[in-house]
Amino acid sequence: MTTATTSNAATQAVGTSNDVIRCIGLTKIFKDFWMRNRVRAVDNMNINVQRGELFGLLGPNGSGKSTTIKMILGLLHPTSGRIAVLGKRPEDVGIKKMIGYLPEESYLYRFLNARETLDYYARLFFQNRAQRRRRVDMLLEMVGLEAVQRRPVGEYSKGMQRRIGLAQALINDPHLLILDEPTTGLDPIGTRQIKDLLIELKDRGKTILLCSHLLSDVEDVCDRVSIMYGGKVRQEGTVDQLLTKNESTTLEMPRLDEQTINEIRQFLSAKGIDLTRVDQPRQKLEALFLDIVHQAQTEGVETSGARAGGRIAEFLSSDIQSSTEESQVRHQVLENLVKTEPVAPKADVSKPEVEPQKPKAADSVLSSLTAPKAPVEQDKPQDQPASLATAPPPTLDDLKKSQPQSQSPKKPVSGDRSVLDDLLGGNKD
Amino acid sequence: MSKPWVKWLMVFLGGLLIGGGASILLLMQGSILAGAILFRITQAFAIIWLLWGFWIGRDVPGMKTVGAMIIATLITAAIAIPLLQTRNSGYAVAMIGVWAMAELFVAGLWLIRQLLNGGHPILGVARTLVDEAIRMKIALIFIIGVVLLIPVLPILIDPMERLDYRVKFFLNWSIGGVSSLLSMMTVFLICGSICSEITRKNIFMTMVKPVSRIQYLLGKWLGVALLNVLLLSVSGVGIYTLTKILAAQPVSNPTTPQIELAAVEYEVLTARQVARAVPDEGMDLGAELQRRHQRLHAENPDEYGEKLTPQQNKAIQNRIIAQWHAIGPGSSQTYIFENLQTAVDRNIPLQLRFKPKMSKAPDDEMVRMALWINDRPYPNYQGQHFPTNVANDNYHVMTIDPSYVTGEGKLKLRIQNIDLLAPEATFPATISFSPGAGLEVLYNVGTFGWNLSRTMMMIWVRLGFLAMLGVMAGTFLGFPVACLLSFMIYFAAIASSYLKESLRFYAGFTDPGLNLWNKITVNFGEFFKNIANGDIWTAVKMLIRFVGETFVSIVPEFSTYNPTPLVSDGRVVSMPMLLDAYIWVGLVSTGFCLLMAWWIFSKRELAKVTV
Repeated sequence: MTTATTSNAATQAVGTSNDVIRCIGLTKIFKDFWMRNRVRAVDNMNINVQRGELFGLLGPNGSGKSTTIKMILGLLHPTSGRIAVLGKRPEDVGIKKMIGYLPEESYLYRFLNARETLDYYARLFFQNRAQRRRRVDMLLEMVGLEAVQRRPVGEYSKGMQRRIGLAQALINDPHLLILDEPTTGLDPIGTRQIKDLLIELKDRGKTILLCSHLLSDVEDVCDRVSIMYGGKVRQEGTVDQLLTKNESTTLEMPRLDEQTINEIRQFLSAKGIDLTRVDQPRQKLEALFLDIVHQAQTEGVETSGARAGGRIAEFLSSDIQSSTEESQVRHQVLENLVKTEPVAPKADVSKPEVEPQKPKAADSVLSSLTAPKAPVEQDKPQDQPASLATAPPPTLDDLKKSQPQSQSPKKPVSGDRSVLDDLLGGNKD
Repeated sequence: MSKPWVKWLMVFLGGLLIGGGASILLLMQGSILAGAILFRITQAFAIIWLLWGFWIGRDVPGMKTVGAMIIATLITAAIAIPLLQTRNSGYAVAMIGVWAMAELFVAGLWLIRQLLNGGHPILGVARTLVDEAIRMKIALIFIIGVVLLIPVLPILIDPMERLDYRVKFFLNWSIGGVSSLLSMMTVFLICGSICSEITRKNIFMTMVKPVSRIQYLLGKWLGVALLNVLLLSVSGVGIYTLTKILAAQPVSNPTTPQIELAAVEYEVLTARQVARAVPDEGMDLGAELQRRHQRLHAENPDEYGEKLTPQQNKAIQNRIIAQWHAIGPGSSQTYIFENLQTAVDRNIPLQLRFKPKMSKAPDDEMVRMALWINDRPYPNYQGQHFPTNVANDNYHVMTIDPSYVTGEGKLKLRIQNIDLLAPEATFPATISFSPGAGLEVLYNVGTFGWNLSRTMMMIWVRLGFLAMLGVMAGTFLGFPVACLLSFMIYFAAIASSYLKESLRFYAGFTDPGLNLWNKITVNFGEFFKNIANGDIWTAVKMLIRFVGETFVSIVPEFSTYNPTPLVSDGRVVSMPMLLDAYIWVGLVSTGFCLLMAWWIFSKRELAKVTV
């Protein structure tokens, strides 16, 4: 068994200049009191996250995602295998200046308020008082918690805690952002904003490792994906590589009328080709994910995680009232955020053999905070099928009615991003 | 936000100017009543408007605290001032004391938070711990306890007791109480903070930042250490002030007030250096020890070998010293007190403090002695040698002029067990003094204030050790076990000398003339022999002694660094003693705990069980 305590030289050899995270043969076995192997949480895992990449780590509960992340962060020691983060060992304190981390739950000090929380984390990065004040102000504005910044974090809803958790992960303008289930507990608006923020950060050159079991999150934003089960990577590749059906071809063209389609059908028929569908054949990531898990289960792969879920327990009551109250709180907190336009429905046409179109930051957080409400043209006709993740949340319907100028789902071109620019040190627009 | 404030300020200043100005004008014109009424109305307006100001600005950071402080001041003044004019002035003093200490604590806390406001991980962790201490109830209970204890304690003291005893009682219980409360707070706070952060996983968020493990541990320790500095400072000020107030109270016996007042001034509220008796040059302790060894060896060669063990050596020495402190009927003994040059140089009167005990007391319970100092009869008035007749088994203090001290800073005291007035009637019993505190010479070298300050510094260094102990325990144990271990080691350190003595009597070891290795092997042989012979209980007792002695030998001896009895007895907590405590407890013991904590914590996987 290879020992986990590798030398610096060995670690340097693991990571190349373009590798931000490199894991080779990574294994983590949890032992019991008698030092017997209890759980093999991660099993001979290899991943490689490149600079500027938004990498997704997918898997069901207990598949080893969080364990992998904790080894990358130095919170757990590998049983065997090697890890290099930014070319150094995970235990190296120096590299942590360049890392931002949002854990699966926001483990915040409940006795501190939002401002004190961010101020505390900023202090850990040796930031002086003026720098801290500036960044904290910006982040509070960005995550929409200015109005409640003096309330103890312990009183926050889960969604609000996720927001403050995200803000602390960005306090140091990290090069590498590691997010564990970032959208858990967030409402659809918050989820969309987080995803847009991730894309925005990626456009600014940040490397992001996103760990999630929410398939739409990963599908929408990630460049590459690893799907884990039972501590092993079952499949890895770009989203398009994983989702494309190679047995058929899709042609993309402007909308055709029925007559033209019939003509094409006849033309192809003459060539002996049967036109089976006239839409966008794309396999859902969810289906692929479930197939992989199902396949692994049929192969009898051991896992310490959850298996197929069952019906909801009868003793659990419906929490409609509290949900409504939480929604109202969120609505109040995000008042300025929801003033903006709904998210643009993306063209959901798969384009095999073509460079995959990267999702645009259609509605960046800052844009949604400060963008003028100028009407903008839609990219696609209204009857174009919108992807599930980008569908405008129904809760905005009323707002749309009251604000007809916000109908456009397209990202405002002239949105003011100064806060985010200042925060991230970028100057992209 | 600024607009309401401007309005508020304008009304406030305008009201004060108009009301105050009109009052002065009326008074100047001779309308005393109208002027006084208007002045009172202006006062009431100022208070109400001030409170209103705090109410409307309650969301401004810090305003809530300042407002609470002002409200507390007003309430205290409203209750305590009328109480001061009644018979219940003690309650008023207690109330003012609680108020003053609370206000001082809040101000000090603000200062500490400002000190920890820098951009450094250690400061960040420390400040969060201070916030945790105040906002989470676990530490706050002890802080409130400290703030309440000191001002309330004087109410509990019997006013009919002698004044010096009252002051001593207050000093003993207040310092001891503060020390105990802060010890508990330190352990609960530091263990609670580290253990809960690990359990609740807050530590994940901190340790993935550029914070090394030792910085995290030092930050935790610094937070508690600063909080202890603040609480000890506040307590010190409170104790000092209330001691002075207590010392100014009426004496228990108004017919001889000077006795109690002098006792308070010269025996309690002072800092006295101590000189213990050493044998006269004519007495050779070493030779006496050798003589006794030879005799014991001849009588019992199995028990006393050619070479005495350290324990045997110590036991024989103690017997010699005890005998040297005993004076038979009619005989005398000479004692030398050295290093008294400072008293001579500063012309400080010396105090001979002694507690004679007769083997069989006479009916009148009086001990009759004759004293000579530097071979001169003492006391000696107009050429006559007066007897020293004092109550049996009580402490007595005699003042000696520094002119009696020789040029080498020595004082030679000869005590004869004789009744000077009727030598033939000398009671046939031995007079003895407890070695150490039973016969000593003291002289004033400092003030009570500085002595109390050094006492607080000594307590702080002990608390610093305890905090680091808590840090170490918290790195690898859960909250309850970490607290238990910390307290166990701490109390073992306090009672280490007593524990060592008790363990020696608890079970017998075979150790005459053996080195450590042979001692271990021989006693393990004895242990197994006992088991083989079926004497399990003796074997178990041997094992308990072995474990106990090993444990006690690695904890620091805190009995050497206990300043409370010293300060309450008016003895100096000297700078060398303080320095010694800072080196051994502050650097060596605390440093050792830090290294252990660092080693354990750097090995620990913080996110151990995740699946």
